Amino acid sequence: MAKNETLNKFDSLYKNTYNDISKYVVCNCNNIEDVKDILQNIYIEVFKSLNKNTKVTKQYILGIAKNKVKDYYRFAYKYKIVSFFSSKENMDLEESIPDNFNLEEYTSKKYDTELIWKYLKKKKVIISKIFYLYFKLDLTIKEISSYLNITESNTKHYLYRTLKELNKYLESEGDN
Amino acid sequence: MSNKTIKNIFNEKIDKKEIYNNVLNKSNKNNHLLIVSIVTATIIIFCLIISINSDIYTKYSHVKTVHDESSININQVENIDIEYSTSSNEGLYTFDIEYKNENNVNTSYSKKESYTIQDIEIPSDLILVTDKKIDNYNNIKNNTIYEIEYKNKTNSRKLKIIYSEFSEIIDDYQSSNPSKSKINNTEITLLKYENTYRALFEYKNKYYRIESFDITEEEFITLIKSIIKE
Repeated sequence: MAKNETLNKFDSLYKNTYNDISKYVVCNCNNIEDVKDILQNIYIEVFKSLNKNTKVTKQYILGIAKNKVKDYYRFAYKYKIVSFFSSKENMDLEESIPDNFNLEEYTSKKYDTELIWKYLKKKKVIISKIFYLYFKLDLTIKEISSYLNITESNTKHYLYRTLKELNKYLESEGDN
Repeated sequence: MSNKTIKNIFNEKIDKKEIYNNVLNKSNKNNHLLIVSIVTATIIIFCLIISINSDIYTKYSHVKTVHDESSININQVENIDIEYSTSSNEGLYTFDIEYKNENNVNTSYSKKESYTIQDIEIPSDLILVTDKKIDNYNNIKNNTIYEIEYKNKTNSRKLKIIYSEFSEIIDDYQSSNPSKSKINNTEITLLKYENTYRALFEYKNKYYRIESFDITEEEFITLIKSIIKE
């Protein structure tokens, strides 16, 4: 298969399947931070399959996703060091600073982002899953409870309680 | 903190575009790695094949090749005794005639078994004509010699091999202090007069004198080499 043809097919598949596959991975992962790696592994496998002229469908990718999630957690001692500030971000910042850049606004937003992320990571994994499905994928409470196999009331409880705690946390961090 | 803020967090931490770029970059790297691996593996296999073949060659070539220390110095004889002249019916036969005239009754000819030397390179056109044992040669007690002679059909080419376990075969070549040759670590004296070659040497406790008439140098040397093995 020609390289361009593969790329086009991959682009199309990626666009059409990303949300569903990321939803599956988030629902089945053990840590919200692992989602990015797992998704990469899945789509690398998809690309390889396209290169081998395999017929790749959404179901096929879902099958890959199941295997990749299993593989990812196969080794119990797997750990990841996460840098609070990635060097790539700093490089991007240095390279492209717009003229109307507001340092204070940017810093406060960035600070909030990192704090929220840090906070979510500390909580139970189901909470970060709920947050992802609710805020990122715009799913309803009913859908989320169905995917995560929990009751709707539990979903609501996790969501609203965490938001409340998060706000308090951010306020207290802001005072510090 | 707004919903949009939280959404942006996930957009940033699980960036769709970033994942896409990483997938393409890794796939390209994998392709390059695959090509490099295939090329490297091919080179390694090729080198292994060459080294194995050269080992086999070395091993068998060592078995096949016989270490041959040869340095050939053929001494041109100034003159040669008339007894060994180039006449087709003389020379080599004078030996016999001289021999038959001996009065000593102890001298005797006997031919009961073959005394030919096995596995030697005799020119293909020559056939065995004499194969005998002579006891008390030159009237010397226990001096037994063995005489093997080959000729071609037209009698134009001749070869005589005489060997003894007793002592050196008497030779009356006129050259003094001939330079020695070496074949397979055995010292020999090689003489030439016109189209007659003569070789004198000791090998495995036997004394040899080999004479040829109208045999080429190459044939003569090949014969000597086939007698003097390692």
